[in-house]
Amino acid sequence: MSMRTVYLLCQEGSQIGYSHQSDEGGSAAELGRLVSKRVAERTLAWPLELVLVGERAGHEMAAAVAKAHPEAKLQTSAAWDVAGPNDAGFWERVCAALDGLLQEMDAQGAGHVAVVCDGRTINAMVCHFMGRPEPDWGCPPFLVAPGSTSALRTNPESHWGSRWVRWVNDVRHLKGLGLTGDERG
Amino acid sequence: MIRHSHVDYTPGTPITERNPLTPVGLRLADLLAQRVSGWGLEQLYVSTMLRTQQTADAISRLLPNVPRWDMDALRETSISDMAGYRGEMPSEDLVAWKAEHFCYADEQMEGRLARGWERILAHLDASGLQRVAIVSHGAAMNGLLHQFLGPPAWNRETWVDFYWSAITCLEYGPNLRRVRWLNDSKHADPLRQEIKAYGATMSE
Repeated sequence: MSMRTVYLLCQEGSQIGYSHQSDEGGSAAELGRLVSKRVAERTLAWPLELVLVGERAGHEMAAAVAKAHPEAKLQTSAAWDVAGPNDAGFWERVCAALDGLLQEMDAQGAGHVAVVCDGRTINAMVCHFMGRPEPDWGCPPFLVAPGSTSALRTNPESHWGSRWVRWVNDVRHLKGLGLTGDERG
Repeated sequence: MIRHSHVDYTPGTPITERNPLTPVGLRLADLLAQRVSGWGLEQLYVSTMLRTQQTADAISRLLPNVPRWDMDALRETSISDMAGYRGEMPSEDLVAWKAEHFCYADEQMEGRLARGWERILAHLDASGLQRVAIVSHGAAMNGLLHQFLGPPAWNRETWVDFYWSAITCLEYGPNLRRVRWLNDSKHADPLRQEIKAYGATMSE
């Protein structure tokens, strides 16, 4: 087994940490397309082999990312969907989906996979990956802006541990869109 | 929360309390300082090891009026954490340590990080400071992050791959503990290839 990286791409319109302000104006649909385009461009640095997306949302971003990676397969699964109003099994579903994905990547020898999903799903994945319990969803531990990227890596050969959180909520590619409201520069 | 800038950890280099920043690490520290210079920092809490002191020095040069509190509690695992160990004492070079040495030292480190974290929070609460920076180390910052997030304690199986001089932003309030972003090292982009030339790390 070698290194596997799962990139978590927060779909457009996700509400966690969203300031709802755009410097460029335009409709939400136009902004969504622009965000998807920027995310797809950001992923060009990564040799994606598979793009995963839920059934209910995120399709525009997933399509843009898949288009930027003609060799990558695009797969849809309800496992990555945002929590529904009566989705009591959300945490268990997402944890199982991430565990299953990492096992599948090992089995298939896939090194780089992107998952397009909402901020709450990304919170669940990062927490589970870090060995943390289900968070209080009234105040999720990680701010995840729409269009942001996060990355998780497994490396069984690492001296210090086999699981690595590489980053969470990177928005460098969204500069000028006024989406995130953070001041990091 | 800021990790120290680039240090030469390539194979064959001892890892001790005194590893200095490399020349590119010193330049990276300057880029870090430029990046944070507009953030309105009101206080620096800095590990007393050489590499974090040098990193914080770059910030202090740009922001000389920001008070600085040098804290042993924020140090990385080192020979100092082996005080009281009943087995054969290892050398100060961490590369030569055995698993039992790390096991003992990491437990000591966890305790002092927890105490250091509580002192920082108490200082924040007493002073009313709004924007502060902690300059520390990779493993220590992993421990601090889990202190911030609350139980359970860090399992040491999953690590955050803090890049050289990377910034993690933690938001803390009476009813709020949130990671605004984790491991942002955008300011390192101009030097990334130069750093890579020193040898592979997880962070490339």
